[in-house]
Amino acid sequence: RDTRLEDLELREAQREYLDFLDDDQDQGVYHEKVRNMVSDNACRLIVNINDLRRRNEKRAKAMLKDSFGELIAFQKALKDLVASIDATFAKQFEDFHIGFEGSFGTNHVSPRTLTARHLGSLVCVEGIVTKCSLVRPKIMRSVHYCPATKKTLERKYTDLTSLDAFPSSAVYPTKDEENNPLETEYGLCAYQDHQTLTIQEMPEKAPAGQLPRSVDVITDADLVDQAKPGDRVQLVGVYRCLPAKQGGFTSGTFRTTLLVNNVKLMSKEIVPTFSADDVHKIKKFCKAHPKDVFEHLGRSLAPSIHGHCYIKKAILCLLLGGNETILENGSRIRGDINILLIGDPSVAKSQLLRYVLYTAPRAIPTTGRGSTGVGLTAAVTTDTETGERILEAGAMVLADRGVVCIDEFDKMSDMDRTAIHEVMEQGRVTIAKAGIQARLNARCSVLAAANPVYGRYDQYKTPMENIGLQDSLLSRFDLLFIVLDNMDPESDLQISEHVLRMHRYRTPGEQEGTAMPLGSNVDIFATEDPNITDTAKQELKIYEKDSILHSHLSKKEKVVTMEFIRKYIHVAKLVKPVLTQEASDYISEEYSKLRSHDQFNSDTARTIPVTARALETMIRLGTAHAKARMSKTIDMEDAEAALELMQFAYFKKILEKEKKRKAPDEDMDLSQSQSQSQSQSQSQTQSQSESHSQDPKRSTRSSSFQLIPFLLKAFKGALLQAFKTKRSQSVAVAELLGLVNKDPTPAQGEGFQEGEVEQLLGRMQDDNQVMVSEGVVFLI
Amino acid sequence: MPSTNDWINNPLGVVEEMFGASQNSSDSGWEAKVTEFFRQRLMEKDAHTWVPSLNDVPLHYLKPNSLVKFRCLIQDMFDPEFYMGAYDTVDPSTKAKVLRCGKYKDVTECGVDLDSANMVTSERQTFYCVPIPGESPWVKESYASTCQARVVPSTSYVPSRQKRSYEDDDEDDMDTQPQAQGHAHNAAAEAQGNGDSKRQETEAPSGQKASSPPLDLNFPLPGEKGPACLVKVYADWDSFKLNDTMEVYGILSVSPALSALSDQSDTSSSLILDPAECMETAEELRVHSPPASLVPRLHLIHTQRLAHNNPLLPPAALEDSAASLASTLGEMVSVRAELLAYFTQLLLGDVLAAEYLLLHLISNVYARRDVIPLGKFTLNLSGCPATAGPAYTEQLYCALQQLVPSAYRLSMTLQNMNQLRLVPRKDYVANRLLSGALQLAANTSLYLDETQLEQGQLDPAGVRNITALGNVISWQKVDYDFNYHQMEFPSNINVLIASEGRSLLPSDCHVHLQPQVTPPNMEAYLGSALTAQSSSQLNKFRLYLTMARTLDYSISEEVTKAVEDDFVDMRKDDPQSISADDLHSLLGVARLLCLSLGQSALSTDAWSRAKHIETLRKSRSEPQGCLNGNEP
Repeated sequence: RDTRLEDLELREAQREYLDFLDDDQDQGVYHEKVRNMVSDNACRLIVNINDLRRRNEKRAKAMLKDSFGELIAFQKALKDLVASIDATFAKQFEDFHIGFEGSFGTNHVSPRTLTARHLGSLVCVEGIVTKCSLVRPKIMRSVHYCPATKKTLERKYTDLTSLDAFPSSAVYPTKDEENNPLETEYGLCAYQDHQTLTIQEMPEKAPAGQLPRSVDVITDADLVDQAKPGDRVQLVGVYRCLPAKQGGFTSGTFRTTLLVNNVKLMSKEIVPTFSADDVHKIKKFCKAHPKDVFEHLGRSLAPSIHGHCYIKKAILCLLLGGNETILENGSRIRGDINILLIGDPSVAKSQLLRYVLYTAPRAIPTTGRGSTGVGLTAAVTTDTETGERILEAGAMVLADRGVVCIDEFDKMSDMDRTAIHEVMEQGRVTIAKAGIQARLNARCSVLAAANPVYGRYDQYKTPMENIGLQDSLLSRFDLLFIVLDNMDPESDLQISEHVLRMHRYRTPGEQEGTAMPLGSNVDIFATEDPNITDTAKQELKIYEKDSILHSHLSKKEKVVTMEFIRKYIHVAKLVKPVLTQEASDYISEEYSKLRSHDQFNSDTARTIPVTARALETMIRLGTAHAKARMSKTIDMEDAEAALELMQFAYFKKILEKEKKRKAPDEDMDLSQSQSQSQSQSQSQTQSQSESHSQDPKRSTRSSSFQLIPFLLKAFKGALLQAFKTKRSQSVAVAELLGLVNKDPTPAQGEGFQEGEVEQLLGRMQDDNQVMVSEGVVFLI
Repeated sequence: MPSTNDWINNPLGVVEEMFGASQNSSDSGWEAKVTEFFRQRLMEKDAHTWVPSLNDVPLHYLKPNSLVKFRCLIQDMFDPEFYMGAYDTVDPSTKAKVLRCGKYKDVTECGVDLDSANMVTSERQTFYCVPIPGESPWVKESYASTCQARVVPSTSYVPSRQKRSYEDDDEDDMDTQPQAQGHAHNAAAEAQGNGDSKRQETEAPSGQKASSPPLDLNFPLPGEKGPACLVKVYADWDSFKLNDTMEVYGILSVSPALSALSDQSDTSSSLILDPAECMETAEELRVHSPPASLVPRLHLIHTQRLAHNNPLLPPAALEDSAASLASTLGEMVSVRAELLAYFTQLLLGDVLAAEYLLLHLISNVYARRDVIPLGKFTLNLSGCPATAGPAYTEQLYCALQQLVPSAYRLSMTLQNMNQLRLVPRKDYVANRLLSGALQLAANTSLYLDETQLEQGQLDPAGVRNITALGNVISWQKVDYDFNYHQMEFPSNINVLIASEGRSLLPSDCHVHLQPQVTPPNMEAYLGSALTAQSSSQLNKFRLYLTMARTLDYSISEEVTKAVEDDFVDMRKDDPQSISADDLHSLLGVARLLCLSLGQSALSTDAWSRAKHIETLRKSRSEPQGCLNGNEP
């Protein structure tokens, strides 16, 4: 083409860009930005391509398609504008740069989708930085002085990475035409920083079975060192191909590179990509199931594992999480929900863990045995080569704001066991070791699986004995589930059906492990705010559609796809529900009931000590339930659902050796065990509690029971009466129970319970009124 | 039209001809025509056997720019590469412009007109391919013997190759005497008969190696031999996956100019930074453009996916050739009995263990549900006689290697565990995937010899290796290490663990060996058992094992019902005896039992048989099973 014509076009473009920048008449946004740039002493202006599109569509199109010429014009326009604002400042810089952001449409690519079509155009590439070269200075302008002729000589250097793609002679002059030696005036030479990076496709975007691709990029001037290896970045730049090496032989291939003009670090949070339609569907789904949305989602978790619906619900709560509160004094009430699964080998505990790994946006798997030296929290290690001390983060730190799945929790080392206390409640790891003092955030939910102490769960022992972990650690778990291999023809049939269905299942149509078509994940086409763009390539399926696998389910029991759950959870997590008065009253009332629960009950025992933490647990679970409903308030039904879960998880029947009663099928059916426990709490009284007192461990545990003064007074009276009837100075505790409840006075209500008596005696012992020794009470 | 064998000896001629024709007729589909032409040719009866194979013919016997085939596994995928699909060349003397085609070539003609408007930039993808890891010797031999390509070792091959690269190949007619089809010579046999060529074979690579440090060819398994190859793919490269096995047909390119490229880098040292130079490190250059004499380039024209690498079966999927295999299907029951007898002998008279070994060898991951792979059947053979030292497990491996197409024995010594790289790792400096021993093709038998494990300390690398092995066994997946993140790749590896006691690794099925005979000299006993099998007998076994694995399987409604009821009944009697997991494994065993008998649907007989052998097995391992309650 004619160079003059090109020149004319360039000038026209430059004028238009100047128009765009000098927007004093319009909103003055860019004028302001340029001024800021000058006052910040920077040389790069970030332009939103959306603004350019709005103001001058033709230029925006040209910019995306044929960026080199356009960028030159734009940068010249910027320089002119800067010169008009501050002439001296403009002289400080060789060049002023333009960076871009905004929506790039089809030019928003990953290293895989960057093709020959994009050569010469402005693209936005997402990926992980895997390699950074050293930052090296590149000479832009050299000034030489010739002592013989007393002349100065200036030379500019451009290479293939400059915008105007005509490489200058790469020879650095040392002699002038007459072969007089030249001196370099180093002070007057201009250099520019220069760095090359390699960007690799993000793992979640690579299709299954394919290795991630990478692309080389070049950054210079103020963009060097903006990203470190391992960072997730969005880079906006011009895709260019560099001819293969000059000289003699051509391989016919090109190297390609991206000349970057804007670097944006992405958050490490992996956000599923949404389209407006997705959000709409999620809301619709929520509205379509006003009553049972929680049930529905809970059932759809891990469809390949049969039953365990309460555990699945709890896991749903864990994924949703409660609300984190940071008090004024800086202490923190965690919102993360921790769950411990304990039970027989081969009851799909590990599979549940594995499922969470797939569903949660950030989940770290680990085992209690701790595969490497770092363990669960953090460790100070010494670099073998340099001898430097390094702080190495363990699984829980890595899982900050996510879920850590710990398998074989019982086999944890003592060191970790102590360290985990702090992490689970405070959400941080404090290290003061080897001259390193650090506090690392580890605000993660814990989902742990453990085997019982005796390998198999012993039905005749209390849950506490079976679990074999300290109370202090147990109380940090919100919910503890005992997963047992129970016998029940009904459920067995369901299980066998389920297993068989799995074995009969064949992936419809496709061969096992076929490469997924590209674009199975919807890409965002903008550098910011993905929710605005609604470019959903693929429709989000709500329900699984496998005829063999789910044919037996009625329409109501349809299983929701994992992708949908993932998105639903993400949306639901954003809701921050508030506690209503009604619900909080209910919770506090139920809490006190829970605390006194085992006074009424002999047949079931607690799995976790009920402490003040249980109160928080109820609130957390209620919050999670409200989130599942996408409700802004925590209502009565949330509190009830939370309580239901807790009652299921907190109590576990112990079999009595003589009777060999069958345990009810707790894993499958809670309402049953719950109703039982309620009926028991009313009907069963002291007569049965005698069997309980054989277990001294348990009775000492309920020591924090709050005593009501008048109860104490009544008890003292009854006790005195008992001693009188016995006519002795000492009475066995077991015997005493019968005696004090022989003729209930009105004050006592329905009589004293086993635990109460225990505590009352303890209180009296403290006051030096009685002495209890080996189950025998002595009057002092 | 090209003559009979020109498409093998001079495929580029065919390509050029079609390219030229397309320019005149403005018909743009010439690329499709080229692949279709070669596909048609290869479809012809036995045509594919005339094509020499890189697997069994030494590289320097192959004519450059001829059509060759290569049976391989995709070990690494490089980034796509842009090349000049079509370009103009200017003759310096006449100034005449000629349009050239750049496809299927590494080197362009001289005098490229870079400013020409006719230049077309196209994209192609490079795969780094290695021979199938752990391929058994019998497979290699068998493939080599079926190959009918006659390769003429030319004494003047070295000069001719150099000359050719700078000249125009198209008119070159050296060494291209049409080869008669009747000469069904064995390439391997010929190479041995010819003393002269043997000498060259050993000398040719050594000359290259002297100048630069030996190149790591990045084979997954240590001690592997064979050529590695850079396969350039021109179409549909997204359908290829890592670790796919396939037979590629392509144009061989060994131009020395490709190697010259790597030497050039150190000569150009100027003050000004060359942008291309600082992007590619020396290591990367070495890896991505290794000398063509060591790693030839192959421009892919046609691929044949391999569902298995058993030379006794046609490579295509089973459905297509069902008719021809009908006879074998009928024999399955009798072959099974013979094979069982053979295994019983190998396993010192233990019939039950032999049965499980047979089931293990035909197992295959056929589907995945959520995270659970279905169809895997890891066998732990404990109670291997330790007194005989490593001899027994080694001999057992040899026997298995003779039966399966690919196998690898990983001796689990402490040193191996701590030092071997099992999981592939991305090396960002050289920008390649460093292979590991777990980067194996589907249906490879991995034989873990735990009898070799002694007491000692595992370092972190060792712990990671053990975890990786555990993951393969439990989930059939390998987490490739990408430094900043991990990527999960599904695997389909048959793992067999030989140990003294119960293995420290998880397994689907644990059989404790109960030897019925105690031969005084173990080595001699097994040796005689091995040699007793005739090769035709072995071939029958090999065919049987691959066949049984690829059979289709289903469970009918009635049997489903019966099994469900049976399960409930069993639970009623004794809830401890069977759990959902046991049902899983029972169904797995039943499936394999059916397949081993050539049945494609579960029968009640097979179900009760599966129950029977499972009970037998469990009663055996009971005293040991109780010690360890930590199964997953």
